[in-house]
Amino acid sequence: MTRWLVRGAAVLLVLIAGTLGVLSYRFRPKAEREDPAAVMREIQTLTAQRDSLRTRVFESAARSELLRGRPAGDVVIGLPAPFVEAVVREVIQGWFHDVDLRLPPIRVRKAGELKARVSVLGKRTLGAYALEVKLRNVQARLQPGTPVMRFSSDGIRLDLPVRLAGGSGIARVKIDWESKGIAGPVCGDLTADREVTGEVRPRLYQTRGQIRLSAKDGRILADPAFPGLALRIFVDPAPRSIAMLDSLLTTKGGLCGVALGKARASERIQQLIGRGFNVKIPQRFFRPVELPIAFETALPIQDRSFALQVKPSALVTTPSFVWLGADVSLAPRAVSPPYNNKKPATP
Amino acid sequence: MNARAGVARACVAGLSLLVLPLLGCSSADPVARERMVERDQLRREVAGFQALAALEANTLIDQPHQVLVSVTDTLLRSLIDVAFPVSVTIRDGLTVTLSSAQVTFRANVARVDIRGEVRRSTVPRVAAAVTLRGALDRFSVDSTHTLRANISVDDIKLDTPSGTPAVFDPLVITVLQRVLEGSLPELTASLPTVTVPIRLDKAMQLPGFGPDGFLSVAPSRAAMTVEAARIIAFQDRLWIVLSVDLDAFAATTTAPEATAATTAAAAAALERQP
Repeated sequence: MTRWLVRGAAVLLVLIAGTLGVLSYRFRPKAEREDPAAVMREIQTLTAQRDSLRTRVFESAARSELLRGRPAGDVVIGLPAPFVEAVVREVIQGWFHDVDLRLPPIRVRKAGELKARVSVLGKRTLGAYALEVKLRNVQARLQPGTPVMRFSSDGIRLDLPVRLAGGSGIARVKIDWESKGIAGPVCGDLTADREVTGEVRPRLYQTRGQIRLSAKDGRILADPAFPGLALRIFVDPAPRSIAMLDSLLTTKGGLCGVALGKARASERIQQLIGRGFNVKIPQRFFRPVELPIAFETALPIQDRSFALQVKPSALVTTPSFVWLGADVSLAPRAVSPPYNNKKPATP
Repeated sequence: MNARAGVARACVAGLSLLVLPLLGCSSADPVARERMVERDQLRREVAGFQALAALEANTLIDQPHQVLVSVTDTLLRSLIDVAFPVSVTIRDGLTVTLSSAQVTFRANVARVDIRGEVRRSTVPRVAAAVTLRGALDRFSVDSTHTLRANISVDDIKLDTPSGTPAVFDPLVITVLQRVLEGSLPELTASLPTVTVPIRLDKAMQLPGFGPDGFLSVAPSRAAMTVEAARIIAFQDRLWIVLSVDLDAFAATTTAPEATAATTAAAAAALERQP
């Protein structure tokens, strides 16, 4: 019996020892699993490989325009020219894609005397005229095209085609005719007051400006500047309206008709309006746009919020990049209440 | 008598069998261990330099919608440091307190070494120095558009304990080392997330203005998607290439911002062509 017990115990011990042996071999320290000599050889090979690669990489970095142009700063944001270009293009075509242009009332006047050769009587003063055109409700739409940008150390130059899409307007035309000389007794005076419709002439303008970049509160602001930008807008009176005006004037027959015909009122109106109107686009129309990437001024760390001091160190424009650098540090007394602040329980 | 002798022999043999495998638990050669750490570090550096060499510095950004953010190791270390100390209680009454971090960006390896100590709850006055060696990885832009990274731990190193040496003799250190290695997931989970101090908008909002003025523009909005495309650690800086996709602008229903400035500008804006 005892012998069987001893044998049983021995078998059990052998089994336990075997298991422990397998486990300790399987989970032996990592350092014991590898041949130390092989590890040493690999270290030598890797060191040589690392040094050679390091030299190559550092030489490449020294030649890199990208890394050379980077300003100093704890945090640097680099916006490649194509990125800025795409954002500006999106903003222009998205935001200003269809700008409503509504002109305030415009009044233009022209007055003068009309002289004409009247058969054997020679050149005579027929009368004096006064034309007044009041334009109102002139509406049109401005549609920007694709901007072309040039990046340099001075900033970003911008060429922007702007299309004035057709619009419409109403003009009130007032004609005062005062007959003089031989036309006086026959014609008498005439006053006409009519509404004339017109259309804004579609046109393409080439505008030139620049985008001024600045840093504010850790953000990059792109401020388009088009100093002195003015668009000349032309309004063409509708032919039917002009014909209506002409027919009104030609109702007078005889000498009077001749006199008024010589006055060429409709032609003068067209000349008056046809020179166009300069519309100055105020600089304040172009609003600065915040680029969508900026320095953070507070950070959540481990359920607390830490304020950061951000001091912009440089804003640099190169032909290929816009760089903004800043020195960032934790603000004194940076720790604020827990980030997910819960209301304290009321007593 | 023979039976007793047999039992004794069996016991001796059994104990020997039990002790032999336990000898495998003895402390690993510290020199061999350091060499392996050095080898692993070199492997990473070589892989990092190979990636850098393949990537010419000027082609760091290869898509027009990518932007570059660069952060110094000094700043990230200070941001990681404020999250410490962090204490984690792991099994066997062991408490690991992590107190500071060393951050080094070179050879395309964003290496992070975190220092601290480990104590047994039964002997709270004695501590062994512990160093977690790892790297920053898993950079991502989360739902709040914050650029974050995690610290992954590759290796744990225990050093000569402070206090009474007898409490943490080499065998104890070896056992502790194994316990800590087994607790790597818990330790890694307790480490702070690293936040890069960059604000990435979710959308570009452009206010409208008018229509009382001379010109009027409708407000527009374009949603923005940002994700980390490539991370490079080089010259003591972390270079993060972000892909920024801006959707097309669409007019929003937000009330237009009719400003006095616009109205005033409108009044003065027109002049008759001479």
